[in-house]
Amino acid sequence: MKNALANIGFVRHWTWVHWVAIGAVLFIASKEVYESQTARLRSIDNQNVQVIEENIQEFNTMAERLAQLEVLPPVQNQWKYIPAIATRYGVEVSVLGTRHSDMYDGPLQAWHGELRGRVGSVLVAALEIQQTVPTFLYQISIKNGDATLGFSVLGSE
Amino acid sequence: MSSLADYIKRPVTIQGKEVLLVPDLVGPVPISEQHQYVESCPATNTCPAIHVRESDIEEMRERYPEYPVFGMWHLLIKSGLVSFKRTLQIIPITQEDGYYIHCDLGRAEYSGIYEAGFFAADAGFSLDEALLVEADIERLVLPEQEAKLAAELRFERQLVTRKGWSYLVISMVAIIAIAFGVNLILGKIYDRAHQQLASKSAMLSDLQSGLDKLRTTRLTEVPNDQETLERLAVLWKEYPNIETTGKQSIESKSITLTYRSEGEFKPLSDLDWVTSEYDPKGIVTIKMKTRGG
Repeated sequence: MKNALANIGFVRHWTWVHWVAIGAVLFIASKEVYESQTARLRSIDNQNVQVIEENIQEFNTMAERLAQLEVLPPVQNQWKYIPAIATRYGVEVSVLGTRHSDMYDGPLQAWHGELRGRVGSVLVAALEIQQTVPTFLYQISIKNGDATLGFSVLGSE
Repeated sequence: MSSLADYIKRPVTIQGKEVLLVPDLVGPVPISEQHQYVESCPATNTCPAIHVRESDIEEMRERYPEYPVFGMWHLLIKSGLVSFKRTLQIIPITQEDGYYIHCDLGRAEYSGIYEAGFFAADAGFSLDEALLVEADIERLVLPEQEAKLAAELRFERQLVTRKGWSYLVISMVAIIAIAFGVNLILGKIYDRAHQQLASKSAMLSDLQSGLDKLRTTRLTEVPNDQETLERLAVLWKEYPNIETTGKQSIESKSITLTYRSEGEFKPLSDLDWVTSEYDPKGIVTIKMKTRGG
């Protein structure tokens, strides 16, 4: 390398100081370029294109599927069915409030309540409620022929 | 043929180039005269260093400013006209005076002038043994370096040093520029990849927020616990005094119920979703699988 460079006239008059200086500049320049490139490659590696594309595909499919589904009526309209059905079976309905830790906590609006009455009546009322409006059933307690059953009725805003 | 001494201190054409020849000194310069001389050729294995008197160069510069100056012995040695095997070789100026060079053991030792046939350096030298150096001007070959004044040499050295630093700075700038350029090109290439990634990530985030919005009005899976409710109804019909142990979750995989057996224990062996345990105290514990169980 040095012999090849010596063919270039001016290099013949260079001392070790010149070579050290040029070596230092070469080293620093290479190091900077290398480090910048490593940082660029690392940031691209962190965001895997393939994973993002797969997610886009998956989200698209999900969005198409969701778009085909029916929009739920407002939750207050859904709730109206509950007392109507419960009364028919002689079951008591009590409201538990809109926030309940061990009940539905998803993107849809939910009103939580509790059915109370004879075991058979509660079970039948719960079945009919669930078949009429989207309802999640949670805690059930049966004692002395009476049952209580927690539920969340779902709807949109 | 004229003597080579005739060419000294006057323009002469050698190898198509107009040059001037001055007498030079092969070998050591007397200490008292060292400040007057400047080296025109470094020592080699066959010849010691050759020096030229600065005043001779200055004189030639004044008379012929454009012409390069060469030392006579330097020129003759370069032309191969001096035999290092001959003890004494001369270039006569007159019959009794002239220039001489003394060689010994295949190496030039020193040069000087002889006057009236007398060699001050060595009284043993005699013109009778001396070999005359003579050659056609066409046979002369110019040395690579002309003789220069100390000031000129110093200036040249400074020039070389300055050039060395200048080229160093240029080389550094070139390296930095190349590194900067490479970095810029790589940056541009990878920026494009980054932009693609960024646009895809933005698309993904848009889709995500769209999905979140859709999820606030649509239900993907309608809850259905019919099977669990029917199973509970079957058990309740069979055992009217059945109870849950505390609160049980419809969502869990199984529901635990108990009842007090009044008479004989009737295991529900025909239902595969039920397991029961009988306690001799009369308590029967039933584990019912739910929809998810």
